[in-house]
Amino acid sequence: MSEATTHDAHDHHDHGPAKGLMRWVTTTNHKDIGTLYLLFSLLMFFVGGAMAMVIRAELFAPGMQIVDPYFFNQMTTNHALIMIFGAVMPAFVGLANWLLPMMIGAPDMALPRMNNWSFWILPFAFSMLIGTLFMDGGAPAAGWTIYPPLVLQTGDAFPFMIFAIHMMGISSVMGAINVIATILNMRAPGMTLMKMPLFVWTWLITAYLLIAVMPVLAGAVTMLLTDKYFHTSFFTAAGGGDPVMYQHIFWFFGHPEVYILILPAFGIVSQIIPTFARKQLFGYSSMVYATASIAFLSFIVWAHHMFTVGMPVAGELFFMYATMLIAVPTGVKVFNWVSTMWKGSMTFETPMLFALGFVVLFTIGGFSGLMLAIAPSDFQYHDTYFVVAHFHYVLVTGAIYAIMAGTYYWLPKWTGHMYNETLGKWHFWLSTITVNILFFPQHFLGLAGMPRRIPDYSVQFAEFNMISSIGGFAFGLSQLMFAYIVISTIRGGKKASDQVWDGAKGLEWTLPSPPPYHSFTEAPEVK
Amino acid sequence: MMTMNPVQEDSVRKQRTRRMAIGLGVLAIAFYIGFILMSVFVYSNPTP
Repeated sequence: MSEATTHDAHDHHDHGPAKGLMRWVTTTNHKDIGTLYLLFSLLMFFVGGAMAMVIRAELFAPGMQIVDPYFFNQMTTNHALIMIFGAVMPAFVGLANWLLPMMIGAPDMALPRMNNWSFWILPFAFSMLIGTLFMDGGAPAAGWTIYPPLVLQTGDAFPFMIFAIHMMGISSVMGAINVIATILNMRAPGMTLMKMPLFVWTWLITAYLLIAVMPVLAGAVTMLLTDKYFHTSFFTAAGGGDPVMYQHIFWFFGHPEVYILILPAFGIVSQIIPTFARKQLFGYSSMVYATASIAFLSFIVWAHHMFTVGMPVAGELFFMYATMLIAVPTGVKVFNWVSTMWKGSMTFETPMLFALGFVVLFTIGGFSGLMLAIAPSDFQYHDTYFVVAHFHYVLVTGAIYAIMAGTYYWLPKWTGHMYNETLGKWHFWLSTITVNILFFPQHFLGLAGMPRRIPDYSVQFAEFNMISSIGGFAFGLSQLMFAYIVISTIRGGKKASDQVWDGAKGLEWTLPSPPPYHSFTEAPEVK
Repeated sequence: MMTMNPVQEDSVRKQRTRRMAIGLGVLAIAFYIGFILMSVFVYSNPTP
């Protein structure tokens, strides 16, 4: 051994976490920060969920029931912002923090102090956003797309919302930089790019998407701010500006954002299905290329969100065909998951149930997405409940199901305890039955012409709305089981083995359960 | 090729990580400013 390495070994002393509250405030450890992200995300999931309950209670029957229309609009807007930026994105960053170093054989993330900063910005951003509910003029109510000129009518809440979005963006960009720097610089010897687990690949590509599009959102909202307070007219028609330009800029961010919310989910499912099918993932390299193709295509389809705005026909055709093209790499993925299961020795523990639920239900969301991609059809569906049904199938039974699958899959590794399998299965079946009661009727409502973002509706929509609301309340209650299962597993339970699952493969399973505070102090050799 | 000892390797990796982080940060800021500048250009040259 060289002199330098002897010296290094001498200096090194393993230390555990600090004690008390300051451990969490000052931590630079990837596992601590991962835990903070995941708990924050769970909290936001319930805050955003409570807002969804208000929405569904109001829509339980026609006529004005519980809240006034303006408050209803505040609920739809904040429900979306909180679920997207507060629940789903931080959950994926939490999973990345916990898992990336363990999967690539690194001791920690590449930039641990920036990691701490990325997380601790978020509670302030969301306190500010939620705080706007108590301000003069109420919280923002123009929808999560915050389109001008409507959003420019927001009261005192406006600058706070803009600042909160900037902070969320900064947090995401710093998180993405950390992910890229970690994956490209900290892999164990022998861990070539094409040997990386699919979750690592999907996160690497997602991180590039984040860096490319979060600044675009920040630019758009900065211009909204200057339009409102500094007399510019970027998006104000009266001053020569163009509100449609905002829509183009917003959706240039917004569509890749959709893939930011789903690509890591693809990665999680690609880890889980091979484990419980006890087979290697079918078509690993095609999965990597499909992920990269989806990421590329996500940049050239944005205007399918605005077919009805009045575009040249050539533009509509381009965006229609480009959007349909996304079905090809997505189809490759679904085909590969199904082929992985083909003739496998499958068992159906809770993570696998959620992963299978993902494959089936996300595909339903994918198909309704294809229907929406057809420009002439979209003229009928646009801004109806069909769109609401579509994106909830993609985001709830897609992204959130994958997050839950991943949580059940890795929770025994993180805590050293097995969760209660019976309760986990109850959680899956209750969620799956109720989520379909909640969202499937919304397809029919949309096809029948019920517009989205309204607190009242014609009596012809009454039955399906009532069914949807009942499903909504039941789905909301089912999620309390998830919180209970997670918290009780953290507190104790049957000891989990290091391997946890028979068919699990990857470096994270070579570590003890729970893993040591610093994952790999010596880089493992990957063959 | 010259071989490096672990300490040198570590130092090179740290340097590369720092450079990469700064580069990606600059890229993000460039996107932010770029989209605002593009909008200024579109605003000052409206299509008839």
